Amino acid sequence: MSDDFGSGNIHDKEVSRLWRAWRTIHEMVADRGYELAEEEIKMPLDEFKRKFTNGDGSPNRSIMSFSARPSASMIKKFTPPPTASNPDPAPECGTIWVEFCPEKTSIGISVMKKFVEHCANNSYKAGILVTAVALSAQARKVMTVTSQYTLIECFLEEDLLVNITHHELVPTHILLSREEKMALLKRYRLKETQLPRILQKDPIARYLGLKRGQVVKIVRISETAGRYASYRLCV
Amino acid sequence: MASTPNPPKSILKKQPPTPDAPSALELTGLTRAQAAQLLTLSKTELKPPIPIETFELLSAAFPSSQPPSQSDISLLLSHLPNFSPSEYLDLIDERNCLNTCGYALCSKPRRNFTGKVKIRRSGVAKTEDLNKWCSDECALKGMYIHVQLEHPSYEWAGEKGEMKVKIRLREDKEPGVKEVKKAVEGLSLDGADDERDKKGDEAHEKKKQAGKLAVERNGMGVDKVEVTIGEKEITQPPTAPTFTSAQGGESDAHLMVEGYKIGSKGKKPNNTGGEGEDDDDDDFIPSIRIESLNYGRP
Repeated sequence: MSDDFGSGNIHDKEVSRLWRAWRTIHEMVADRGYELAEEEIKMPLDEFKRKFTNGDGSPNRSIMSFSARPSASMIKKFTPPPTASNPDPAPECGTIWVEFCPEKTSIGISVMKKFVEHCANNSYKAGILVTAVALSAQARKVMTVTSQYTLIECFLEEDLLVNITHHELVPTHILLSREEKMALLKRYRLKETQLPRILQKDPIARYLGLKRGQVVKIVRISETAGRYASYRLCV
Repeated sequence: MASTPNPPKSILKKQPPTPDAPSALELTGLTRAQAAQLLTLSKTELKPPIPIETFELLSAAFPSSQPPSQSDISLLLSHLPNFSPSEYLDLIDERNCLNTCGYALCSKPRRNFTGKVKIRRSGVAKTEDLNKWCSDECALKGMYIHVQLEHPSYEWAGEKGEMKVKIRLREDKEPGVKEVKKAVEGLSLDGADDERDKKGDEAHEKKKQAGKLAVERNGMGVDKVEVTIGEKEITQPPTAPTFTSAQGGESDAHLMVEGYKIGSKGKKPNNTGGEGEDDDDDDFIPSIRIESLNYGRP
């Protein structure tokens, strides 16, 4: 705390918060299966300051955006199994675009529409907008309405200060591919609805970007069994 | 008893004959009252959500001029009845996101107070609420619409027979005493600048009109009545009023109530016996009846 007040620059606190959000969002994108360089994820604070701050030390959010391509394993996971009518199905994932919103007061329809348009024009399959302040109700509506083609997600900077998956009480969540899900249902002779559920707005579900109908495998440490796996259906 | 010819009687209630086909009401599983309620609701409460385009239209660069043009006002009034109260608050939010005043017919930038609360003449207010508007007047106007949406009064809208929420805009504030005073001051200063000149003209016009009104009220109004004010001379100290002999004299003064003496005239002597009293009463009542009957038939 003494550093925040002592070292003079009023922007230091904001920059360090932004740096933590930056690191978490990179870890999130990498955890979802996109390709990111190690040095990009683990960028030290000094380098971050050098790269993304203006002359007076204030952060420059508009140049912090980045995109990432899905890795081979992710493409494999997101490609639906070939059928007779569609022997060579296209993968359901594509390049992701992440942007930090420079707006500091409030985010309305116009800002959101601009972001959605940018994602659509550059044919990104997913877009993440990191904002410093909450969205207005109508901007949220724009996000859900237009997410037919592009999957738009929004995160608050303050929600990204800590990577929740690194907490010791949060078990590992692994997204299952379609084939794995079918195998699971067959193995236990279940219908989809008979699985335990997880909400789409659950912090972990938001972290992994789960869609309705996807299944996650949750691996917990168990004292008696060593490891214990359970499955949840996203609703 | 055992050999009764009658067949055993069913203890179940007789079922009413089933209708041939279930009606539309039964198919939806609604009672008649529920259906009626739904019908009225569909005319009033249940509205489709406002499309985002409308929000954009009413928030970005609206109104196009200040003061708002007639077309802007009619456009707003055509959209407003479809808004729900919460959607109207969203519209205010949306306008605030673009840094304009929350009142839909004001294009000024909103206020920018800092801190959490602000002390005003009316009390302590959250800056968050104050910053939604450009002025207190716009806040009044804006919330005036919100109240009408929250407690809607419906009117029939044209030929379609739909109910529409009636929306009225708040009138601009009328000039108060302060403004008129200022205007009069402006007049006496011969109008150094344009603003003063304008106000002076207004005051002058008002004076002229007042003069005309005075003429109208008392004819040509030039003749004046001579009024002289004289003092009433007092020669002796005031005394309390006393009863004169015509009112009953000094000796009976203690029996008077408001100048009328009780029990002096028109009262029977009270030396009659118990029986006599009863007879009197019996006679008295029918006599009244006859009188009243006579009154009834002239």
